[in-house]
Amino acid sequence: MACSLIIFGWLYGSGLPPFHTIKSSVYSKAPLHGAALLQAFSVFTLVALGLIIIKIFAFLPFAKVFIIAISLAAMILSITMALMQTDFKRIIGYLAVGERGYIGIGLGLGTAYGITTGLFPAVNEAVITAFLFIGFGNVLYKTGESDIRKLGGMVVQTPEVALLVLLAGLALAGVPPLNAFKSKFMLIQASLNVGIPELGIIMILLSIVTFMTFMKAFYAIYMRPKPRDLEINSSKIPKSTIFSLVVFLIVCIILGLFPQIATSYLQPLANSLI
Amino acid sequence: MSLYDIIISKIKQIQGKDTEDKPVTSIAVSSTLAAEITLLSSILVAVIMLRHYSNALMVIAVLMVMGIVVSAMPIMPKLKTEQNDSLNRMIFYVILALGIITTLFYWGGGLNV
Repeated sequence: MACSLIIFGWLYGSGLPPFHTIKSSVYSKAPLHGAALLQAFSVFTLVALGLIIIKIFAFLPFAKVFIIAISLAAMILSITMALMQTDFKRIIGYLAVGERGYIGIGLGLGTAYGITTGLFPAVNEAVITAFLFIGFGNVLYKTGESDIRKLGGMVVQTPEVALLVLLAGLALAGVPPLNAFKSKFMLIQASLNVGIPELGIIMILLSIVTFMTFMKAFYAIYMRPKPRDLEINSSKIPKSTIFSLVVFLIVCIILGLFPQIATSYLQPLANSLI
Repeated sequence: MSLYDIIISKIKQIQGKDTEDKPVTSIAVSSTLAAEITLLSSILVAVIMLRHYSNALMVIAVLMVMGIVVSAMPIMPKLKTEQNDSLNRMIFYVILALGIITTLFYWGGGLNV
């Protein structure tokens, strides 16, 4: 009973189903710089409570099975829902929630390597999702519009931001040498080590769909011709915003090339839990 | 009515009455189809994981999922309608989830699965 109630609180705090719609709705309605912080707090809540659940209730085999099942549900439901959205804030909100499923699967595997691979995506997703929220926030700044059906041609207006947002999307999808590739690769290895290759198949499939969802939004906002009735603000993107995006990109590249910067701290923590 | 026509009519239904005259875009239809295929393939692969407990259970579950999917297609427009911002729906699913989680852990928490 205690485990079920703590897990219920964990589901709410981290935005896993059935609370994934609430969290994605909050991210879509908050100012995008606020949403960048909110999603990071949700990731940290997921990790903190998840580690507590594993530490206290690891003797219950059903707890790990349930964590894996709910994480799968989060990934599948959120990423498929992201495909159906027309508001780019909701698309990123659902993708952010879907990526938490990867963290939950790592934690639910229950091995030291599995927990390490669950914590590493937490670090990566906090950075990448903030990168995306701030990157797409520039579109809202320039146009005041978030419906991708009414947007277009933004690559002409802000080419440097378009490039940075494209790199953020590639990071989210797990393209090497960016950080999420390494974390997803390690997760797939961990699931193969435990003897559940089906988890690896689902993770690969959903990574492809994540990339497809991002490219749909990117094409609609940046690549296709600008609609005639779209009004664009003539003010320039603040240099501080570009600087923050570049910092995120540098963090993504460094963690992608040198994952041991993060995993060397996470592995002893994971070993102490088992 | 083919599956494609059913999807188009469901999308029009979700978009609301004021867009009845506007054509459904190819992006909307291809997104719905892609989401449908992703959902079905992910659920089928996830159900195959039941082989770790029982092969017979896995076969029965796969056949049930395929039967439900074929009879209920398209599922994604229905899921999108259910997962909207309505407070009543959210509270319903939250209470349902609490009941399911509590029941599962109370009756099956000690199972060696």
